[in-house]
Amino acid sequence: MKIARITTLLILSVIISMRMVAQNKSGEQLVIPLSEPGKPYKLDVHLMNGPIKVVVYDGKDILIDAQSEIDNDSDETKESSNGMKRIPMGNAMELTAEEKNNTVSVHSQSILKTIRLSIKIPQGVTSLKLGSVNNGEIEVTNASGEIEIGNVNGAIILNNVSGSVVANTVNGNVVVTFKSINLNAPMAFSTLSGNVDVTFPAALKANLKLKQTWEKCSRILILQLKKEK
Amino acid sequence: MKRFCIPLMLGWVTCCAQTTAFAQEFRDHIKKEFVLSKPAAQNVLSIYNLSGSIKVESYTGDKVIMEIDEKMTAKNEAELEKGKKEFKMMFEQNEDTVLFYILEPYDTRAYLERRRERDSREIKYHFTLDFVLKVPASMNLNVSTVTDGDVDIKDVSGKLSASNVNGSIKISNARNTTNAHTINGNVTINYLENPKEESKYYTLNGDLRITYLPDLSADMEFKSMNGNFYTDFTNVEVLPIRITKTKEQEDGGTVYKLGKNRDLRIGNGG
Repeated sequence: MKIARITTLLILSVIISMRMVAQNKSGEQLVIPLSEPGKPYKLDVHLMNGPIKVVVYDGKDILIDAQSEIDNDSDETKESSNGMKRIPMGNAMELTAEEKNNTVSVHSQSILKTIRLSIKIPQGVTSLKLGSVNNGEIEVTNASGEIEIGNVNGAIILNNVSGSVVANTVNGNVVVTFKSINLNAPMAFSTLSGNVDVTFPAALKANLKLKQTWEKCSRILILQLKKEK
Repeated sequence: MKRFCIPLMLGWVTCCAQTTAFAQEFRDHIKKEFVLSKPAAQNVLSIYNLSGSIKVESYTGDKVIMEIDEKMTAKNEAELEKGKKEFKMMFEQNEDTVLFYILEPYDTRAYLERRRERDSREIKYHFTLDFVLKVPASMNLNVSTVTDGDVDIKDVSGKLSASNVNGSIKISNARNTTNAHTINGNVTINYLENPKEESKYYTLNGDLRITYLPDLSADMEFKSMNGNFYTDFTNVEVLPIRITKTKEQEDGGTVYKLGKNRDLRIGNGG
């Protein structure tokens, strides 16, 4: 009985606090040196709430810029009913990154707050796994390797990537542009509500399997095969 | 329609009556006194309760007086007898500590928690211990309970550590370092003298209401999932954002943490 009540309270407060989030932002940077810089490495990032953007740059460390969003009312001091003043507490957030044998995993404990991650990674990533649930578009530019993206409420945009891609979302578009592909690896792209737009290199040799969940709307399924010059 | 309804209701009433009639209950009142060999300020009173309230109040005497209302319930006589035989309270005293804990069916001492073996026994009786304690004012306290009761401390000037899970913590007229931790309940404290050392207050579902004297000088750290911070102190300064990056070695790997908390300075800080 008590547990049920607490859960209801928690869920209520989650909803309320999510509504209060506004667009004020403030950011910090975390620098993660690899234990063997220059060698192949893996990166695994999971958020409950917020977008993830990954770009490749010419450095050795992984640079994570984290921005959290501040409460709607935090920039003004509000008075409560009993003469007490509210002190704005701003944008508390927590982010943890673990590095072990050139494998880096990043996650956040602040599951209620939206955290925007902008990550710069060195060349040579072999496995890139990114996941988010809410308020998040996942965008990757210029990476090469095994790329695995899982999202729920947001799009997946992969620009100029190489290797193999598995990209699944529920609500949002999946837009992938390949620079080159690994012909031996199976790939999958899916969304429940949105478009799947994949641009392969002209030298593609592949068997394609296409499936649509809502059969009644089969006219919507349009396969456009364009060969780019 | 009527014919059908009345026997049905009668049956229902009899059903309810049966369950209450067969529930067994045992009550006892225990009173213990402990004579302290050292001054009270050098003594700690530790209570590790599980189910029931803890009420502590200071008095002018120099002994620790412990009164416990014990209540044990079970569905039938046999289980109640088993409970009475099995249930074991422990009262211990050494030169600077007065200690109470439950040994059977569970050992409630916090530091043994991790060592405790997985207990697969089914305990079919329920026990509640409500404490009323009288202590010399300067006694240090370390009291904890888990469910079915609140922690209430009044007029004790020693160091206070109070813990609860399903209930509130109320400390009236505190004068010393305080550590109050509960999960489901409010923490309400008022000070007659501001604490000189670091004090901590925690609740997961509830309010923290702490009343200090107006001359407070302290740095405060506030962390909340969904809560807000209110004060009627006018000399409050919000300190710049403190970023903590910690590196920890965990089985060969390195952990980097980015945590941001807002700190407050009241008066000249602590």
